[in-house]
Order: sequence, then C-alpha cells, then structure tokens
Amino acid sequence: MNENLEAKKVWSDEDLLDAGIPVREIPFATIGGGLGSFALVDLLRMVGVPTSDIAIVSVDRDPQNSFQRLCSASQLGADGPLRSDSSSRIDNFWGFPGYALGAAWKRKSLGPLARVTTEPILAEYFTPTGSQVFDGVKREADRIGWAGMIQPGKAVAVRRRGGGGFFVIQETSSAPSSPLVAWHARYVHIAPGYPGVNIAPDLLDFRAINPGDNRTAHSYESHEHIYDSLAGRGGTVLIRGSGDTSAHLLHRLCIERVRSDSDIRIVHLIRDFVAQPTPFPEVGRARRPGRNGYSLQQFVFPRAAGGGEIARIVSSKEESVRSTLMAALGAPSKPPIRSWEAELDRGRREGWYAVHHGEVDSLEATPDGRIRVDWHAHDAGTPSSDLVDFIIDATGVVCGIEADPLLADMVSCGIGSPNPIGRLAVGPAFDLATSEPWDGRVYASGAITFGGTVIPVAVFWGLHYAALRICDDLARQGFCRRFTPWRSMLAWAKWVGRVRLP
Amino acid sequence: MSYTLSGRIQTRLFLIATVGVAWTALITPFVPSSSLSQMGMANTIMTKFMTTIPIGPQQSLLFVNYQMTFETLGLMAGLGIAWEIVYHRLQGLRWDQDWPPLFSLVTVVPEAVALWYVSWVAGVFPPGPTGFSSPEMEMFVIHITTVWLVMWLFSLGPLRVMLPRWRYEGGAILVRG
Ligand SMILES: Cc1cc2nc3c(=O)[nH]c(=O)nc-3n(C[C@H](O)[C@H](O)[C@H](O)COP(=O)(O)OP(=O)(O)OC[C@H]3O[C@@H](n4cnc5c(N)ncnc54)[C@H](O)[C@@H]3O)c2cc1C
Repeated sequence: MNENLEAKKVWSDEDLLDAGIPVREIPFATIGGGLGSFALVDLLRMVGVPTSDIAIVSVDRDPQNSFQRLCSASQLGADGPLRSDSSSRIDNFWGFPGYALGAAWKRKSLGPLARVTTEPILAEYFTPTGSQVFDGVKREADRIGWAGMIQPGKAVAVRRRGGGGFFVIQETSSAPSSPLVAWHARYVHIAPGYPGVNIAPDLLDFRAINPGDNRTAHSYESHEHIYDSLAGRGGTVLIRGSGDTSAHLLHRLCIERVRSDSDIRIVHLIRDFVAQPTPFPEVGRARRPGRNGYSLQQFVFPRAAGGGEIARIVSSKEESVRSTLMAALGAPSKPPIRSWEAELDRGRREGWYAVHHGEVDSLEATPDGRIRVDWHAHDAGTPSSDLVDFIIDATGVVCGIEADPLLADMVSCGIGSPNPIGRLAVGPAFDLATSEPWDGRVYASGAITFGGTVIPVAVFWGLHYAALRICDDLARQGFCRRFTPWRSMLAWAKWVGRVRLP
Repeated sequence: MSYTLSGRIQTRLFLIATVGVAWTALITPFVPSSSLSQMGMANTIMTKFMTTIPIGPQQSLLFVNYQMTFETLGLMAGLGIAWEIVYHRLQGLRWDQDWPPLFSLVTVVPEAVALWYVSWVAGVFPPGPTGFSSPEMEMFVIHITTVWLVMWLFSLGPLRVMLPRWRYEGGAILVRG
C-alpha cells in the first residue's frame, strides 16, 4: 500500500483506482475465517443468504484449521477432553443433538447419554473431543458451501469508504509484496482469534541470548521434541502457569512418565497460586473450589456467566466493578478431573512433582547443558533456584488491539474504539462504533471483544451468541431475514437431514 | 441449563402450556380411572368412549377425568412459581449457578408429593383417603410422571430448536430482539 493511501482515513473509489488496487463488490465480508466467522456464516446461510453475497477473508482454508493447530500444540490433540459441554456444539446452532448424542450413536452406547443427563452430579461432565469438533465443523462447512465463499489471503486494512460502506484490503498471496485486492462491503465482520502467544519476558531474554536453543517452548508452539527427549533420557522440566493448558501439559508428562518409565521430574511455578476456595460475595454465596495452586472450574467461566444468573448480576454492575469481576471469574483455572488430580497427588507423594507459589527472576544456560532457573517464592520472597532441562511456558495468549496491526489500524482510522482492557468495545449487536455515523456496519466476535457486558465471548457459546446478535442486527438493517422460530425449525430439519444449502 | 429466575418461571409456564397441555389431553383417556374402576367397568377405550355420552345432567366420566388432570396441571403451574423461587435459591449455592438436567428431572419427587396433597385440599379429587390406597393415586402418578418426563425431554432438545434464543437468555421465552 502506498503511503499516500495509508495516510487517509477514508478512501474513495478513485483512491484505490489510483493506487492500482482492484475493487470487488460484496455485500458482506468476514475477516478471520476461523470458528467465529464460521458461527456467523453458518447462521447467515441458514436464514437464506446466498454464498455469492459472502466473502470469507482468511489465511486458512478451513474454519477448524486455526482451532486444530491450537489444540494440537497445547496437548489437547484430537482426543483430549475439550473445555466445553455437549450442547456447546459449534457446528449446530441449537446444541441439539449435542456432542453426547453423536458420541452415543457412533459408539453404539448409551454411556455418553447417561453421562450428559446426570452430569455433573453422578458423573463428571461429558466433554467432546477435538476430533468431534473438527469433524463436525468440516461436515457443516461443506454443507453450507464454505469453499465457495473463502477468499484466501491476509486482510491488511479495513477503512471507511467515502459514499458509504467499507473497504477490506486483502493480500492475494503470502509473498512479501503480494498484489492487493479491495472488497467493497456494506457489512464487515471481524473474528481474528488470538493474535499471539504470551511469552514471559525472562523467556524472551533467554531466547535472545541463546538463539536456536530449542529447550524452551511456549505451550502453543510445537514442542514434541521435549516429550521425546524426556521419554528417552528422563530429565527435569519447568512448567509455568495455572490454566487448563498447564494441566494438559502435566497430564501429558504423567502419561510419558508411565509409558517410558523414565525419570521425568516436574517443577511447577504458579504466580497466582490458589490454595483454597475463593469467595465471590458479589455474585453469590458459593466459593470457587481451589487446591494445590489451581482454581477448579469446569469451564473457562462459571456456567451461569453465559446468559444465566451470573451474567445478569455482572451486567448490572458498573463498568469498573464489572471488569474486575469478569477478570476474576475467568482467571486461570482447570476442570476438576479426578484422574488428573490423582496423578499429581501421586507425583507429590513420590517426589517427582513439586509445585511452588513463585515467579521466575531469570533463566541462564549452564555450561553442563542445563538451564538454571532463579525464582523467588511469593509469600516469603525467599530466592531459590532449580536446574532443569526444559521449560514449557503455559502462561496464555495475548489478545488486544495493540497486538494485532489490523485492529490497531482500524481503530486509528475511526472504526471501533478500545474498551477499558484494551480490546474492542462492542455494542449490544457486537457492533463497532465508527467515529461518525456511517452507512454500513462493522461487527466483531471472539476474544477480541472481551471486556464488555457479555462474559464468555471467546468460547463456542460466545461465538454463537455473537452470531445470533449480529444476524438479528443484519436482519433489522434489511440484509437478511430474521432467525425466527419457524426458520429455526426448518433450518434444523435441514441440518438433521444433511441437506446442502443452495 | 443456566436459568435466571424469570427465565425459570417463563420456561415452566411455557412448557406446561404447550407440551404439558398437549400431553395431558392425549393421555387422560388412557390413564386408569378411579371412577370407572369403582363402577366395575372394564377400563377400555370403548367403555370410555361410551361414558363420554352425557347421561342427563350428570357429567361424563371422561370429562371428570379431564377435569382432574387439567386441574392438577394447573396447580403444577401455580405452585411451580413458588418451587422455582426455591430452586433459584438453591441454584445460588452452586458455584456454577446452573441447574443440571438431573435436578430438573428429580425435582418431580418433592413436587408431586406436595401437588398430591394440595390437590386434595383444593378439592380436585373426590373426598376419600389421601394415602396410597386412594383410588386416584394411580391416575395421578401416571399423569404427573409422564407429563414431567415429556416436558423434561422437550426442554433438552425440541425447545432449543423451536426457540433458538432460549438457552442464550437464561431460559427466557420472551426475548426482545
Ligand atoms: C487450546 C484452546 C482450546 C480451546 N478449547 C475450547 C473449548 O473446548 N471450548 C470452547 O468453547 N472454546 C475453546 N477455545 C476457545 C475458542 O473457541 C477457540 O479459540 C476458537 O477457535 C475461537 O474462534 P475465533 O474465530 O475467535 O478464532 P480462530 O478459530 O483462531 O480463527 C481466527 C482466524 O483468523 C485468521 N486471521 C487472523 N488475522 C487475520 C487477518 N488479518 N487476515 C486473515 N485472516 C486472519 C487466523 O489465521 C484464524 O484462521 C479454545 C481455545 C484454545 C486456544
């Protein structure tokens, strides 16, 4: 893009003509093409929007690609238990039939159904596996004609168009100075997922000093070689973080330990160590269970944060209280899986698993090929150090306007504004405010919209909820028909009958 | 399911008014009827059909049965509002503040016991013993358990299809668009 163009906040058709960027017309464009885009496009197709009216601007071919990558890197894989329930079914808007019914059908067993109707009282929650999600999304994407709407390439800018609507500028290949194309769309949706992983500063320092050293990994970076080496020769690994990804890592290490019979030792550092149940007087009398460093919670948020009583209570609070409360409710936690607890209890007893409330001060490569971890205990501040062979950082993902150049550019050009936690402020229809009234609308969904009044925005529930809100708003604007009970039933019958949408 | 108080009450009333009413209308002719057995008549559809013909000012027996089942259903709706307030309080003691499907199912037990006695006091059933030997017991148990089961199953699936916003809005039936 030339500088002249870049400097302008609003573009005209001539501006693009002068810059030699061809313009294509499309009524609706969604940027991302992951599960957030998928949830919305699925719904739009079900209310009758033709494929020719939708452009999906994405660097990925299939909607599950990005999710699948994240799952495999974080040790969830295809068979690990996801952090969702049976009815949070991303390829089925109604959550019926849920994943449990699908699993029962496939295995010809009533087990999953018994579990889903008695959870979490008589049985642990039924949780779908990654492959159930991937397969379902693949099938549904095929049914709604995803391949006919996908426009491969990265979106690099969204600007307002003089005379109404917006331009989405897209690279048409992954080459460095790829040719650009502009989509002129009246309605734009953006669901870019997580822009990056959160790598601790000390780890960045270590990597800068020891370039090419592959003994450290972020949980979302591929790190199979670490497990291979540990299984072969044993060794000590440092795990950081107290979210569910760290729990998956620990589980994987326990499996490797048993499978290989090698002496694998684990040092686990938790910054926000939870030793006992946490009270939340603002939302109710119950305390969130917690032990051994972890908060125990089945889902990323307590269940009633999605449309239930907790959602009602939290949304009634004023903004400052609300955002602290939301952050606390969604603080790192892991699901209470009894077998996982038992593994770690055994590790503690046998002395190969040690968990501390502490923070890393520095990392240093030692001459004998190990890594020295200097850390301090949180309560007493006493410095300690450990020698480890590997480090896996599970301290999460970053998400914010500043972390994504596309979003930063949008906001600086008058589309959307930051909310108090630096993500996108959205209206009730997940719409972004423009700096002046504009013809057309930009919507957003996924993690980037966290911090508003809807709590679990980044999970399947939230992606569906946003899709519903956006679809309703688009119907009000006359872009599509409303998802009425009648259309819902009709669409469901087609889903069950696997009827391809025209 | 994560209900708000208003969502719970709306859900209950909606379920009773739709599947509850439909199921009661459908099943009443088939539940064992005390009045008929007292009269020593075989409990078949044929005899029931015959007894639908009103004899003088006396109401038909099927009509009486319908009156009994629908009155209990109505009481289930009315008392239900109080029950929902109780459930809402109990739900607040759970960390997730949700209401697992198992709870929705087993609450039929306390509700049915209370409903049985309230129905007696309200004069839904003809005077007589209130214990297990009551001639209306069988009809009541079959009606209430099946209607409950049908409503429960309906809420687990078809309701979500009919009202796609229901599960996103804490069980509210009336959602502003
Ligand atoms: C390890 C892990 C496990 C999870 N498990 C669950 C779970 O069990 N249950 C649950 O409900 N949720 C879960 N989530 C949360 C969430 O449902 C998923 O992350 C989901 O994939 C989010 O969808 P999304 O569309 O926001 O992002 P993604 O699915 O990641 O899609 C974003 C897409 O946008 C593309 N993109 C970004 N920027 C651009 C650009 N400028 N131009 C073009 N394309 C771009 C990306 O390449 C990607 O394909 C999990 C998340 C993670 C990380």
